[in-house]
Amino acid sequence: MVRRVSYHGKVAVAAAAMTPLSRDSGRTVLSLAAEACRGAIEAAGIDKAEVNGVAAFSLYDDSVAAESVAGALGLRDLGFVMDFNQGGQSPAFMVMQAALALDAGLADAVLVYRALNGRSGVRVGRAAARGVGAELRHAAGLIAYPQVTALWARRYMIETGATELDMAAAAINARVQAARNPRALRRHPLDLDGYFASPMVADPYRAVDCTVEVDGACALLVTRLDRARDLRLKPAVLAGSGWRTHSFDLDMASALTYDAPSRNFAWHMKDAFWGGAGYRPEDADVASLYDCFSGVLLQNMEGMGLCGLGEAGEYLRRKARGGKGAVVNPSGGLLAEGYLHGMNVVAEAVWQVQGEAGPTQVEDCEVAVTCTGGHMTGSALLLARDFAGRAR
Amino acid sequence: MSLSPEDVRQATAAGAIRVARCAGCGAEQAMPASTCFACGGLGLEARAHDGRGRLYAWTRTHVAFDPKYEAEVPYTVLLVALDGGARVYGRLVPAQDGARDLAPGAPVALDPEATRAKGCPVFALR
Repeated sequence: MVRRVSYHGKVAVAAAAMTPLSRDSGRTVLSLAAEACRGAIEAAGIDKAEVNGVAAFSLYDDSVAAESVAGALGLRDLGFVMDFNQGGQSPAFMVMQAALALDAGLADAVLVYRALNGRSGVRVGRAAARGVGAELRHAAGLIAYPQVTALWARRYMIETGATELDMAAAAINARVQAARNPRALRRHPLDLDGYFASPMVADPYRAVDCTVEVDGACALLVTRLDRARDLRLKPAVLAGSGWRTHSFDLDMASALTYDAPSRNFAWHMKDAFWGGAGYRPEDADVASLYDCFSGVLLQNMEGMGLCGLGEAGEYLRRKARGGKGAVVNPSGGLLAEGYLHGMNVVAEAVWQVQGEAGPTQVEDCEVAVTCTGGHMTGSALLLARDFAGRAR
Repeated sequence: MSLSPEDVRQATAAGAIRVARCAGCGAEQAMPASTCFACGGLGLEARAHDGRGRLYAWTRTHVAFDPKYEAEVPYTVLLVALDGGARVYGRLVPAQDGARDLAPGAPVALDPEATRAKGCPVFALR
């Protein structure tokens, strides 16, 4: 069902900033978060006194509270705070939360951040979840996320006919794009021989099919569009957005009751998403999509409507041969840049639309679609250049 | 009525599988719950299951994500669709693990002795 969303076209991301990413920051999560937030404030050219909202998410207690970061920044009189407790499905949704607050008039400038020592501290890839779902999974030796998502990948392959070659296309594309990204942790080239030589982790996933955990932080500054127009950078207008929980049972990565794993949350959301934005998938110049694992990128490309089910691998191979269509993950995505739980693929989409992406800039990027999440639940944004009232 | 975590533990310890069937919509589930996952109904009826089903998905794990799994890797985790539709996580009997090609829909049957020994459902390809 297509609904008109109140804040579409009225809110923008004014700036995005990221700390360097590493395997051992040697710093507190609070200091990383504050640095990223300061970076976004400075990039936007906004007075810190105007920032009156902070939203963040964390998983397995791996981060710091939004109000702690506000305190570290010396912010006063916040009208909006949000501490959300989900994983990689959260980043786009946190921007939506900021948009709700801005549109409602509860705040005027909202920081959205993700900060963690995800390699030297709490490692999501090895974290053991709690609860009944975890008990069932652990009894079977299904204890870590790479294994759980590998089950989804296998089911995706079964339902669509996709193969390891399609997984390889995702992993290879990430390296091709990351070669231009000085921030990326994995930049060395990868070809098919290299792909198949990579050691198996949990089949079908090899080491190169898995994102790399990092320490770091990323922050966005979200304001109403009219305010963003007066700030330093070109606004990345929030033209579309959506959250979808298609279904859920015991915990985050359960495939026990999901009806068709090849159709992830995005697939079930895409009609409402594009209809609510007034755009089509073919309008996107850049797709910066959550890719914690290779199969997740394929599922998100298909789920967001860039191509049909099972066709994402061929889409990437065609792009590599010079074919048309959105550039997919110009930063190298989570696979090559590093795992900031998806906030970094959102930041890349912001920079692309603003023309601030630097070495990874796609020429004339007017529209960027980004999504965060992989399987049962997730969120997405459509960011567009400020067309200032003229017809697209 | 419901299927409790203790029901599931006891069934496993007895080398068996217990599922819950929804009196309202007929959906079956092997995971503990007090409501039907499909319709939200309260009429779950727990029953013994004969442990027969088909492979829905699998993954062969090559990395020990916890030190206590060092001795076990590589091992294959199964997601089995039991006859009647309930899905359950499990393992393959050791003699078949890594020794047989797996295909979607391949018929499997619960191995009661291996299930008792492992503490989770263990299946053999039929």
